[in-house]
Amino acid sequence: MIDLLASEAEQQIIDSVAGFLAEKFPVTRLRPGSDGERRMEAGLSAEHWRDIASLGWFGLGIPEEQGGAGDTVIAEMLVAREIGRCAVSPSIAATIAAGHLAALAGSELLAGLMAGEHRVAGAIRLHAASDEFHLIDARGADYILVVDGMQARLYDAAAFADVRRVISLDDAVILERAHLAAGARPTVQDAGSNIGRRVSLYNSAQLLGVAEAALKLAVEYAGVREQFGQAIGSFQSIKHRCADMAVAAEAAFAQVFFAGVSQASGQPDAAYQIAAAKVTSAGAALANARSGIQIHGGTGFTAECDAHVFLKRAHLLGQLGGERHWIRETLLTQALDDRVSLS
Amino acid sequence: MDFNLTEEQQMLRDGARRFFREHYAFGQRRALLASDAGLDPACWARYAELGWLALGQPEALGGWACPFVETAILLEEFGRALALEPFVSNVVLCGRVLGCCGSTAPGSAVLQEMMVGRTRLALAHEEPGGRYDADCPAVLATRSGEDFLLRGTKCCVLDAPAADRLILSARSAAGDVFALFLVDAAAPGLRMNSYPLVDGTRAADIALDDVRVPASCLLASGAAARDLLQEALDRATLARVSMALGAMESVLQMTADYLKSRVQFGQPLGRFQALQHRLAEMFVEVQETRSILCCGLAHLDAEGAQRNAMVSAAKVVAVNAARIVGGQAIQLHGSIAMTNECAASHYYRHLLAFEKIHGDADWHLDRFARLRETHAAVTHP
Amino acid sequence: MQLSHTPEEEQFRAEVRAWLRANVPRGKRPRTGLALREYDLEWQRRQYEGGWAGISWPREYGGRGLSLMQQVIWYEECAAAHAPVGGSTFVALSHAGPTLIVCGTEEQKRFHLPKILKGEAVWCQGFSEPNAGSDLAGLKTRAHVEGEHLVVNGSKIWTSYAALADWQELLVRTDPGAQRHKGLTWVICDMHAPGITIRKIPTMSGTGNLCQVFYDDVRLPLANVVGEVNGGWDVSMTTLGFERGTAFIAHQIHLASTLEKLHVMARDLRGPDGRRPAIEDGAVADQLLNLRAEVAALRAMTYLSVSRGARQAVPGPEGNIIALCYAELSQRIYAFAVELLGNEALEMHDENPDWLTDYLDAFKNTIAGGTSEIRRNVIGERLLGLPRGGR
Repeated sequence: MIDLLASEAEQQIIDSVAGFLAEKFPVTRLRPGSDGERRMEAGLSAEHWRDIASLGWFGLGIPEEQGGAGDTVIAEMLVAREIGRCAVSPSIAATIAAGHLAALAGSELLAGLMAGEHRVAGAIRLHAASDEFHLIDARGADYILVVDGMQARLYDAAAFADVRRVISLDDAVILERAHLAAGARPTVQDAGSNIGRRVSLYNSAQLLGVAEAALKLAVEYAGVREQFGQAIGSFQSIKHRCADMAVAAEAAFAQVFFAGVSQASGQPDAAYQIAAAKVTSAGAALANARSGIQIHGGTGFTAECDAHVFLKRAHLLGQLGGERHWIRETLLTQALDDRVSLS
Repeated sequence: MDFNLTEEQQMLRDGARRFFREHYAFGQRRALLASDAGLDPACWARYAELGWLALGQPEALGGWACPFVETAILLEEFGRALALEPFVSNVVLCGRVLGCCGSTAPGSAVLQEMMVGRTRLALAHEEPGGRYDADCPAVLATRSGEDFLLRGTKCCVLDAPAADRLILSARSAAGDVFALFLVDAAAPGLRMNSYPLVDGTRAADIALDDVRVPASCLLASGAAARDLLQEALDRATLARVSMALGAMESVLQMTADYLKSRVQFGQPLGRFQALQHRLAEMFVEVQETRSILCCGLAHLDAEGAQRNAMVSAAKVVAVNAARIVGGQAIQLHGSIAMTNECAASHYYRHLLAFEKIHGDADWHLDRFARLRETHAAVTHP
Repeated sequence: MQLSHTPEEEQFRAEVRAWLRANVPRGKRPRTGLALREYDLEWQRRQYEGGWAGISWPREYGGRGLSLMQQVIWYEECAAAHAPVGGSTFVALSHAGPTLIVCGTEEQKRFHLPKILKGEAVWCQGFSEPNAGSDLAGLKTRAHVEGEHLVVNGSKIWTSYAALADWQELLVRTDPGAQRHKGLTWVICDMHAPGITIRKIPTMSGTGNLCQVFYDDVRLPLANVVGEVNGGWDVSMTTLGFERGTAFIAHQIHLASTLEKLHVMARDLRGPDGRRPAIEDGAVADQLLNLRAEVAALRAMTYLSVSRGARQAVPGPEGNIIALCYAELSQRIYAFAVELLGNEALEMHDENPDWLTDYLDAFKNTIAGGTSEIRRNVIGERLLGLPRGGR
């Protein structure tokens, strides 16, 4: 039995998350006002964080016996996808993942994470041999989640020294550089790959959201913008480009959620599917964001149009959740026999 | 650098174009493809009469001394017509090797016969698993009295089935020296297994079982022989880029004509933007190929590494263009292009073969990168 | 969203696997001619005798009446067992049969469906014409009613296996005065009827299954009309809906196993540097990695169509997305094969495996059954709601 379409309950999650984000975090919040300043600061305020925690996202997938709502990874991915659509902070997904890490290790951090009392930010190691990291939206974070390969570790934010802000390509987030103190020991860590896989799935779901939002924006514009006396979407060069964006989004949707159900049902090839989901969703997000800018023409090049938000977010998320090296290993070494059949 | 053709060059081009238009219609090509020989001996004789087979050869040997540009111009027309005759193997590859061995060398008589169309040649260099650069051939040449005995295997020898003589690379048993031999294609102990290539031209795998050749048939040996061969191969690569360019121009024109005349949904296909844009991309690819070909031609007489690098660059750009132009020509023609009755499929197969002959894009890209590293100073004119 | 293996599915898979292991034909499939027809029909007969024909077809017409998911399992196991895919039985099993099930009369179903399942009939398609390719509604092959018969005159082209076929799904214009999409009729044509001439069209891959068919006063009983006279457009859209929806499941799964062969080849063959295995070359590895991810996504998209299929009887325009993906991905995969082979790919002799033929054949994937350009139009207009027309 396989079903990749949302159930009624899942559709409710999508609608409620989308409704909340549309009200509080519309993509238009990132547009400059008449004074050139943005309406909303980068990152998330403490108030926003409390709002989000009150929706229960941080405990959505935590087993009921540990105080969560006991939903599946799919439900969490549906949340992540909407976050991607609105380019909201990736630290939400990092905190959801950290909750699972705490739950797995039986750490007392779990309650605080679910309640929104502890905040977690993601980090990207500059390169495999470096002790320097990029921290994403770590202002106000108590913990930093680091994933090497598929190994997840949660560090106290104090373990990072020489923190300095750098100008972020994706200016909807606060980007910092910092060194992990020599000998720093993680507060919690995952002996297996469970958390690493979740991080990758949440990230791919966000990338999918980016790909879909870029498509939606472009199609809306192509349907109303007129040139030569007709909507530009009636011209094949635009229409076909939109079609290609739809194909990329659908392929990403199918693969991301197939990877999700593979992980949720413990398939032996889940890692392979997760790696493929990262490749597919990252490719779709980047391609759609680029096409979106082109379809918008001159306005697509300005900050007054939201198309650039998706491009920048695609680049940011592309670096997160499933590094190139792990993907290469996973996608190139596994033979077909391990995965051709579902059984 | 002057990119305009001289009056003589224009005459050569116009003459060749006229010749192929009159004597090499598409139907004739299809008949030749189905024939045993896979080429037209009458055309070959005409090429000799027109002096084409002597192109670029020293006047002392009765050749038509002229720069390589003339060869490129002529081959563009060969490509346009998809002519099947083994011009590159004979005139550009083997002709160059023999022409550079000096007028007293054993090959000069053979060269003279080739120029008048009485004998045909092929270069036997590639070996099984060699993947283009067989710097040390496995074919072994052993001394036997005054003669050499050749033993080993050559593969994918282009145009060998129609050749009377072969120029064959080998390694001498004594001292591991690279050597080029002139071998009779009908020599005892030489077995040829012939087959058509994807573009319909013919090739053969050749097994040598102690084939006896007199010492006088040793054309060149050592580093000089290797350099000579490498230079001839570079010229052949560029010659084939030129052919591919002609083929691309022709199939582009054909596709444009088709889009203008084929009506669907009540209008010519050419009115649809998606198809117009595709055609525009093809056009850009063809222009890029012409530019890189000019660049390659300008470096043909440069020192080895620089020449190698620019020839490789030309090949890589042309292959990329060939894939786009050939593939889109098929897509834009629709189903009819899948058939043998439509020339688009013939152009496609010609371009596919071009991709693989004398080193594919990977191999040339790799060579280009290596040369750029070691000769950081490769500069554009 | 969910993925689970019901015990029923697990058992089904085990049965399929065991049966295929013992029954998949071992001999190489002939590429053309009567030998191909015999090979394909024999394989179909064997499936019928084994009880595996028409897995998702209704029981009352000889099918197994199983779920679409079980059909997918069947195809997956077929690919794993290297069973033949497509070929001369494709139109019967994937177009004509399903169309008759939805639109045919009881009599047509009783007569044709068992023949299809038992491997007693080869069908071909008769939609495209020399001047009606992408613009199918512009077709001109005429038929007029004469007593109890339709009399057909005209020509159809790009008909695969016409020379081997017993029956044809033929789309003709029965009301020349009507608007383009109206006035068409979908009729079952007996390929042995007097007045039919077949011309073979050699293709660039060298396979010889493509034909043009000419009709000179061909008389077909009115009882052969599927749907209404002048109602053929709707019937043909059902047929094409299957082509773009479920019909290619087997091909998609087969493509995955094709890529796996290339994976093995990339380990065995020497790479561009002539020394290391190809897979150790960065560019080769990158291509392979991306292609494997794309094939994974294609498979997930197949499951997405299965999910949709469970909620709708006739496939919707979404099928164009997967069809477009399949077509372009298949071409990239065969192009990668040709690249891996290096200059081996030049040789057209028999000892060479089928890579080159498959590569050249794959060009039809973005043309036949709706060009990629037409599919992009449909996706843009019917799925994204962009304005029609324009150019």
